[in-house]
Amino acid sequence: MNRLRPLILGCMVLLLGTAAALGAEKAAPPNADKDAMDAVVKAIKGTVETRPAKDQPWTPVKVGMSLAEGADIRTGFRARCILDMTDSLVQVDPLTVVRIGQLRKDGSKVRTRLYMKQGNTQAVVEKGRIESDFAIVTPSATLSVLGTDGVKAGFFPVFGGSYGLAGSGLIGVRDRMLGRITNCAPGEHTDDNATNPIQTLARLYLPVILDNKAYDPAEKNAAGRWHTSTPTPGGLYGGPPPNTGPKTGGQEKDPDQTITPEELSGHYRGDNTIPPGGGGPQ
Amino acid sequence: MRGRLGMVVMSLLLAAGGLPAAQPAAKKPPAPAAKAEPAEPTSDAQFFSELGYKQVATAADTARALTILVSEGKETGADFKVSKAYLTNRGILPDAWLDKAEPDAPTTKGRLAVLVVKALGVKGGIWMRLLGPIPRLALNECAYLEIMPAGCDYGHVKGGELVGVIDRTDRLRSTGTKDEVPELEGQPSGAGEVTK
Repeated sequence: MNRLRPLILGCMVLLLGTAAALGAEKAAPPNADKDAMDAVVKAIKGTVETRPAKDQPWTPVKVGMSLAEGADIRTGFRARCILDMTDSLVQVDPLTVVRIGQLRKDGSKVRTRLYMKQGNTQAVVEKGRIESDFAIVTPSATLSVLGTDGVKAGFFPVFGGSYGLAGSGLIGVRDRMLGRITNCAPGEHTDDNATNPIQTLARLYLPVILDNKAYDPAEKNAAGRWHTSTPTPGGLYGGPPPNTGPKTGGQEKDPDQTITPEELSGHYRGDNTIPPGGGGPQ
Repeated sequence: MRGRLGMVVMSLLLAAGGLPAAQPAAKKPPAPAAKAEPAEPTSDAQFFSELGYKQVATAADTARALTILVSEGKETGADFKVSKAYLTNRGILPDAWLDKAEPDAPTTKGRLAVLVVKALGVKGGIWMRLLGPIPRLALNECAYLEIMPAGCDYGHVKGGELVGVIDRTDRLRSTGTKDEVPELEGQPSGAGEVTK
């Protein structure tokens, strides 16, 4: 037994050492990259929630909390929060979902990328004293800052994006589909297609030209109702409303629909086969 | 001898312990009928962020979003009937599509426009004053106010589009009041740390 004692002690020391090493590895902060920086929450109002990564649970945001790269932020109705990102100050406006995509030192620059799924953000970027590489990326366009304050970016599906500059400086907007780029000076704004700001203003304030049936151009071309071979939906002729019935997946229930999907199977439109019994009047 | 005695005692104890488990389960009281689990409470931030991923906004989504808009952030929860009752009390629902809709029915642009126009109390132009808020006229009015994108009144509303409508409607309503989203002011903390 006395001979075995040193061996047992050695094994215990080895096990303890391994466990300590594993524990230390687990306890290490997830943001161990020395170039990575954190955003600090300066102020909040209303319901603001965050999660450190995609699979993590959402938790309420508190003032003074540090948010690392990859953190998602979402705000509720009339809620907002202000983030201090060292070289920039960002306000996340109501009903917004945004991710801190990148926030790190890249040589002498601070590289910031905000991925905004929907909503609105405002930013102040210190260009005079700090070399910044700041951009807000939406599903349809990228707004990059060339040194300014009063940056505004907004995006909602169907509405599209709106990018403008309320303060001083200059911003660049790039259409992510076509790669077209336009610049916005103070007081100017543009859209997802990086339309020239002058044209954007003209589109907003020049009168809409209606056709002889009082339809405006956006309405005429909507859903392929005109200028395409797509037929006019039945709803316009007094038939059932569009997108109804079993043929369209039954998204909407038609109160007058008397035929069931089972009855319809085999009797699709264009079925010219003679039914059993010969068909026609008896 | 002691070992054998111990084995016998152990086997007796095990057998005694197993007896209650061998009793028939018929004597147990019947389990109470499973109640429908109430919907898990969700914050308005969660509701609107998840709504952004939906391809089509349903009547239940529209009712909840409108309730939040009309009540200026006071939630009634995800219950469709409670939301409808609230909107009825506020005079928005009568004669509207939402009153008779199924919770999972898709929302169309025209129907949403009628509800938004009623919620805002917009009277509209001469035709809307004469004919009332019919879907096409209501949508044109909302497009003019820049709270809804112009288009056909029978198209379905996407989830993200509904979030945008709520955002723009509240911005329009709160312009010039204390609830208006303020302009961002101030300077970042690290100004001057990294120099060119």
